[in-house]
Amino acid sequence: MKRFTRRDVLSMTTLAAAGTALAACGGSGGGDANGEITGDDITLRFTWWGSDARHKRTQSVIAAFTKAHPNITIKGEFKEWNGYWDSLATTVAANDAPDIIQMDEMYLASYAERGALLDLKTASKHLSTADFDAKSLATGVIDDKQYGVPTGLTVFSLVANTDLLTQYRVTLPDDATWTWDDLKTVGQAVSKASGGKVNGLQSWGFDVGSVNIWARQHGAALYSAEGKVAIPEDVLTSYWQYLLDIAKDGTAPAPSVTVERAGGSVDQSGTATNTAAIGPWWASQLTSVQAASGENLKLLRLPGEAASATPAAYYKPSMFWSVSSRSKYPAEAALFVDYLVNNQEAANVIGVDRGVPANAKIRTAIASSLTGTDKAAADYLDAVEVGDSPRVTPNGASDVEAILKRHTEDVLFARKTPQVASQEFIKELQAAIDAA
Amino acid sequence: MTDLAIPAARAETTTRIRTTTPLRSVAKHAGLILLALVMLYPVLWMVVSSLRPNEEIFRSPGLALDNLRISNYAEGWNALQSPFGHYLLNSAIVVTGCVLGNLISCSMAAYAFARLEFTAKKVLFAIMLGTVMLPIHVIIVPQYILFSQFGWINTFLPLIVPKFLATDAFFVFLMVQFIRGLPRELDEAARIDGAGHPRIFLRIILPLMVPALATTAIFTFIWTWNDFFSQLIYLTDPEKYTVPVALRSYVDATVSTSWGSMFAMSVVSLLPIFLAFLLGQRFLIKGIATTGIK
Repeated sequence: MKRFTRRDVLSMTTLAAAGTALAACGGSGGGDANGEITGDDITLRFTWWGSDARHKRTQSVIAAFTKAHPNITIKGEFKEWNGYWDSLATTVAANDAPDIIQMDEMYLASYAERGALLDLKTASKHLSTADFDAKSLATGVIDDKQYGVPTGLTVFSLVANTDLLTQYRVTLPDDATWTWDDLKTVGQAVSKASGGKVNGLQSWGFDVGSVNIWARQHGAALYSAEGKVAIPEDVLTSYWQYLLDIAKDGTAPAPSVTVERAGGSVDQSGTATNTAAIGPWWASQLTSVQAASGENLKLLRLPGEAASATPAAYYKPSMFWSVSSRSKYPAEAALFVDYLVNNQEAANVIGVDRGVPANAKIRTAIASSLTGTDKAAADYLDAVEVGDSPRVTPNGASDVEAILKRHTEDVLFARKTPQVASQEFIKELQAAIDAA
Repeated sequence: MTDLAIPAARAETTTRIRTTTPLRSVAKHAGLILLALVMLYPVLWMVVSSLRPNEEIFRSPGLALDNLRISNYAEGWNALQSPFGHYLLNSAIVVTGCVLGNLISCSMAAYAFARLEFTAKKVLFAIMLGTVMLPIHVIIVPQYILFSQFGWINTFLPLIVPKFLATDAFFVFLMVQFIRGLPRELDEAARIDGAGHPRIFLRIILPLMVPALATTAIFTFIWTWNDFFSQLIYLTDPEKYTVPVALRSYVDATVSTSWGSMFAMSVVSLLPIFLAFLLGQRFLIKGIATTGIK
């Protein structure tokens, strides 16, 4: 039962092509990343994904930078998420990559290990990372090379709709000590009180964050340090068993609803449409979910953390800034990245659009200007206890979420038992890594 | 002999029509209308959603409109860097170029394959047909390298120029089939009158193959208007975006999307296609029916 969408196949073929082309070219063609900043008129290409609001903010940051450096022109190229990766794979393969690249954790290793990204430590003269704490900086390191500087951080959390909970007279236990069973009990109470109109929980199983958390609470990890799949079969089985249980007793919506919503956008989710009382989200998504929902939402700590030996929660870089290894002007590109992550004025414009800033100094500086859900997300990030970040998604595992989604669907629709799904998931993911 | 056969055939069809009872016809139509509605539902839902406030869109799967909100159209038109008309114009430029390119080059290539004799004609014809089967993802990287060395990235040239080189093998094949169906006696008569190949092509063949040309024009229009991938790859400057690429700028998977604006502009961008099909439908059917591709 292997189903690929046309787009999956497409991005895989282009990326594979990118790999071969890069292997064929080899080496790097760029200039000296620690050299002098040129006084000549040059143009840098800068690419990112996002929606219209982000485009506007980024354009004004570019304008401020080029005002200070009139000889450098920065050309923004922006796309939405899916098109972004198709287009990036093609340009990288064709040796025509943009100089500054907005990178995602899922793809960092794929591009870095194929030699497409610059080790930013070689540009240390222009790009300072002194104000980042070691844990967040480490998220962009592969084999001791800094391939990306995190723009912002986020953590996996639960979002509760307090209006719905009040309406159905359900009280939350203390979220510092609660367990997964407590979460189930709360969910059941809501589903029962609403007569099925509102579900207690919005199901998950489509996001790699939830798997990471589950594995870490069981003392394991999704990937080993060497980049192999390391999650034990029984841990994964219990993860899917939990999802199956909440779907069966009506705590979460019917599988067909869950799967349909998972394929949709943020606005179509249970939390956003006020049809689920508690749902899992990245803390940074609170603002968008809140805007769609219109009701009072609150970030909760993850269940089971108190019982876990080390905190399972971790900082996930919302995205990275990377520089192409083929850039003709790596020093200038690094200078621009430095402006993006270290400059206070730039930070004021960007705000928390790319996650709560990973730069600790900037984070403190903008904290006072944050309001509402942005402030709630930043406060949550500061308050929550985190463990070491998991290993970067290995080269070849970029499609882990597509694989995860397919197996979750199979489990929910009872086409596979959680145990069979675990065996097959581990095998398939490992094969994808081995093939890269 | 043939004179007798025709009335007989006609009589047969009339009796067959009479045997269909009104009840059966009503049932058949009701069934067809119902199925048509099922097929149309997504489009109707999009049109209705384009008139809804943003937050209501995914809460109501029905077609009933409670709160009319026409401002989605005004907002969507101005939501991106340039007014939406700018992207419509870009698409129009690309589409016009592609249609012209395909009409000129494919008809010439088709004439050569159908009427001229040259070495390795059969092999070349097979190779040309083979290119129909190459998916774009196989050729996109080499093509991109080529165009980037020409310095053509971020212009409309990579989208239009190939069309002037008869690269759409499907249309060449369509026209070859059509020309093969034209009587050779016409060419020979023109040749006796002293016409060479250019004149035979322009004066005899081209006027006769209008249905095939119309089919080519309409299909090129629809396919180019809807093409997303190559336009996404080659156009990097937002000022150069065409309609499909611009529409995607409304969507973002990680934060909320202005769906109302997007649906409104989707409706706007459907209009040209709808009109093209409406006006060209007659030619389309004629063109396909007479080329032997069914």
